[in-house]
Amino acid sequence: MSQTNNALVKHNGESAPIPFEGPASLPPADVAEEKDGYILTMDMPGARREAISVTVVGGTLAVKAPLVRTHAAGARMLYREIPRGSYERIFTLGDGIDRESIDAQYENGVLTVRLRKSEAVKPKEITIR
Amino acid sequence: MLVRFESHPAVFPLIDDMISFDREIDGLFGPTIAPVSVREGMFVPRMDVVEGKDDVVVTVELPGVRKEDVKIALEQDLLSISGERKGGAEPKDTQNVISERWSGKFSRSVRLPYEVQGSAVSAELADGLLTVVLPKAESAKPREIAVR
Repeated sequence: MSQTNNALVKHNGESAPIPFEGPASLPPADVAEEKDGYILTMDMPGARREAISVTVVGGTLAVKAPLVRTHAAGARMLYREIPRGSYERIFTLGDGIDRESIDAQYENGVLTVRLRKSEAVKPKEITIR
Repeated sequence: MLVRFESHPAVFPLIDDMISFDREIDGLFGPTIAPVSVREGMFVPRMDVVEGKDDVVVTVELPGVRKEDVKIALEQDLLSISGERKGGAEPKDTQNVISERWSGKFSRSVRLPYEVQGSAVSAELADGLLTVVLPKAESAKPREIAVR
């Protein structure tokens, strides 16, 4: 148990333990490359839009969201598979991404982040004279 | 180009162990839930079952699934949740770099530990979580017995 937590703390580069009910879980992601950019899609059911943070620091894009689940007083867990704690995932951004035009949207438990390629790496059509 | 950071795959078996250990412990103290085997080729979303005083609440993770694409059926004590996650219209000229999310049909069933009032079941889909509230039948509710 403590080993698991250490690994995650190290992985996120944070030294202070955050109080939560369980270890952070990695949301599954899809990344599709388009001509002008990339679309990153992540399944994050149960996250609240206002609590999701998408941060670009240096060469990384970090997505974090706490998972708070409340049950009525006296409720008893009979079966449990859904993770508690938080969602956390960090992606490394290549040089060809325009850091200034990243757009994120959360709908129906799915986070969609749109990243644009910087002008320098976009494919260019050269007209033959 | 986006590159996956570090996934620490070694962490996951530990978490699975912890969850199954949790379940074993839970099982010692009360009714256990029997997950029902599923049809092949279907995605099996994760599920929680919580017992309240007057109801049983089943929560299933269904991110990206539309309300109209979920079917909930209750046949005696067997609750079945099924449907399909339909991908949005794929833009042309895209190439998958990472592909981890599930798509297509899903199915999840559970045998409830209590008799419930089938006519009073309600369900809500919000932020990718389906919550089904099943009020217990009168016979399944705890009764206080007055000592004379």
